[in-house]
Amino acid sequence: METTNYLILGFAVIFGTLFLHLLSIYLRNRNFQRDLEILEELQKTPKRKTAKGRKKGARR
Amino acid sequence: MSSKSIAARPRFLTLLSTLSALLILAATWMVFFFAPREAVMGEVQRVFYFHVSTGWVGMVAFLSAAIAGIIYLIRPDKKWDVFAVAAVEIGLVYSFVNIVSGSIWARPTWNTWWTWDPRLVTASVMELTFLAYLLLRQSIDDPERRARFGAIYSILGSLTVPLTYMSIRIWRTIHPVVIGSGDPGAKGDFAMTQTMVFTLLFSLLAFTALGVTLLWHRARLGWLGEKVEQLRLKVMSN
Repeated sequence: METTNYLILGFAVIFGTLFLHLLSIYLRNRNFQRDLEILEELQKTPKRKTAKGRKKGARR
Repeated sequence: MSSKSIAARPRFLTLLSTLSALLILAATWMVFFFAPREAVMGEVQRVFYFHVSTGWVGMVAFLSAAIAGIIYLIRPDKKWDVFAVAAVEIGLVYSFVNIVSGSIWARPTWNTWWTWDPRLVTASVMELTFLAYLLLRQSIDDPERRARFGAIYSILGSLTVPLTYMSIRIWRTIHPVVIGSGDPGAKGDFAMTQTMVFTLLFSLLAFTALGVTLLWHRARLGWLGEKVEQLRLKVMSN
């Protein structure tokens, strides 16, 4: 029985799906790393004075 | 903890990733060049080795999620919930590959892409049960309630795993049985030579290694996601 086409289709599905899953893990990881770096930068920057705080300072 | 320390990958994980890639390459070589061509079904029978291996990893992943669920209920720790979600995702991907590759194999062997056979139905029910796990989790806002619900759901959902495994042993089916004797009416059954058995065992080993590696990577991703969420809440509250 000639079934080579089904063999190619089968392995394309197997490796294609596994590759897409790997890619999805890689991309999600990269995005989280970026988010983490940005959040760490935000945490490091000193707090700005709020509008209320600035008014209090002006009265003094 | 800084982002650099979170990004640092354990040396053993790097080793395991390399080993898994090499094992998959070797298994692929064996499937195409070591295992003989099956006389009746022809080339498509080579899908069998990875079809069985992905099915095995999918089932083990779902059972791992249930075990993580039991541990979470005994000792509530977020890391077990993260692990369970990772295991379910791995299980879904591998089971999907198993079902689709089986369908492709069935087309020339059974002359149909799909039939309402007990094995095909129970495997699909298992897949849909765990797909619903991910969807239903998203509808719960409270993290603790979500984790508790996930734990109970994964334990109950894991009942579909032995049901899928046993389906070809307890009901009339056309699906062949790899381990043990199957239904005499099974179509696509074949006598395995020693090289075929060796190729199957090697494929099982390679896919198990790949499954463990991906589960570890996916669990680390989940843990990283948790860290990002915690930090985001902290920054927003400042």
